[in-house]
Amino acid sequence: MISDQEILSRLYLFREVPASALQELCQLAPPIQFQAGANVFAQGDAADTALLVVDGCLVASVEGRDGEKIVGDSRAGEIVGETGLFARDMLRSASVMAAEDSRCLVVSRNLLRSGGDNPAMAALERHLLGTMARRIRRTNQTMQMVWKETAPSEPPTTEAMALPERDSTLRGKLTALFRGWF
Amino acid sequence: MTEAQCRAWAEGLLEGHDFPAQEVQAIQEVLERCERRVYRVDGKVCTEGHAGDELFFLVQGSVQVRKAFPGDDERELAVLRAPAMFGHMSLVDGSKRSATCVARDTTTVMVLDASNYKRLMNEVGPTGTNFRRLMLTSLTRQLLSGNAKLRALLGGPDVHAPGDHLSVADPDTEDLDNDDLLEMAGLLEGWKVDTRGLSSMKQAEDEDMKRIRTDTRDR
Repeated sequence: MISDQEILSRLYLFREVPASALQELCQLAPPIQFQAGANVFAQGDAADTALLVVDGCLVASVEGRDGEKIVGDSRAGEIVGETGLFARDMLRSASVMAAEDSRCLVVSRNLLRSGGDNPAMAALERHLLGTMARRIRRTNQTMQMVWKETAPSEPPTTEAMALPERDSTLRGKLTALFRGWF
Repeated sequence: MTEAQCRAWAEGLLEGHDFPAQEVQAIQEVLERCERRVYRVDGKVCTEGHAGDELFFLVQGSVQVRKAFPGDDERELAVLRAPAMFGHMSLVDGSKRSATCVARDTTTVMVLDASNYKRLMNEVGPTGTNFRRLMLTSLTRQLLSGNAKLRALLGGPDVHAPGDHLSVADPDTEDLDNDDLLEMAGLLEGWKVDTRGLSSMKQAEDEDMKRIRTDTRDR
């Protein structure tokens, strides 16, 4: 079996991090294993840690008024549950399950406190920033698609035209685009 | 800016922020790497659509944030008052400026250029670590407030505190309008993220979760 340090070194985000720093990171927070089908997070639980997927695949689902919906998956190099690290008293907005045998690095506030002088932590923080920025952009772009469509001078976008007619109100269009998020 | 003023400003910026290894001293050191600029009334700090290669710390005065509206003129999105940080999204993801910022009165900003930003992003040690965590906290707030607004627009519970900047439309009686979308765009970009609103956002999250659980139980 490949060692934790070796598998971390294969991740793009750690490409410039010295082996000694990754070794230290593995000592501070040894990656943990989830068997396929294992529950990782439950919706509504306290959210005080994030997971960096090192190997395998996690799948997120939300239980809402329309039943349970799969809202996304995370593979090697991706982070889940990060908002709880930088805001107080957050709850998990989705449940997460291992879709296959998976290995994950648990990123906790304690790790952030104790690993401040480790280059691997700096790389992880840069990666977190990129992840959050992409989420903000994705939400904004989706919303602006609806916004632009309502401007008199703008023709409807292909995506907006593809929406069902019954969702012709602004709220209906937004609901169609973001269904499953909440 | 004297050391005492710098410290007071850094304390103001960090007030309410909650992240590990939060140190006023480190934020002061970030400010020392910045260029100080003073803008007169109506002085343009940054322009929507332009490339963004600087981050701004507003240390004195106030800034009006304006955004072009499709098929319309520019509208005011927010007013930022010191202490505040803005213009960081362009450095984080290389995007163009999402709004125009204009000084409302004599305004002092400390400007962090792209090369110093990059250095801080890669720096191991308290200054780099605290800077990155300041950025992470700001982006987390942007995401949470944007999501809370979206949830409210789509018919979430009306649990916002008096004076909170989040307005909730009644899903049964009125449709949204572009002002709602404009406000949400502002929240996501970080123009109007205000610590006073966070407790009610948390309350909204909790109420939502209770509703989801009740709905699930009732099915």
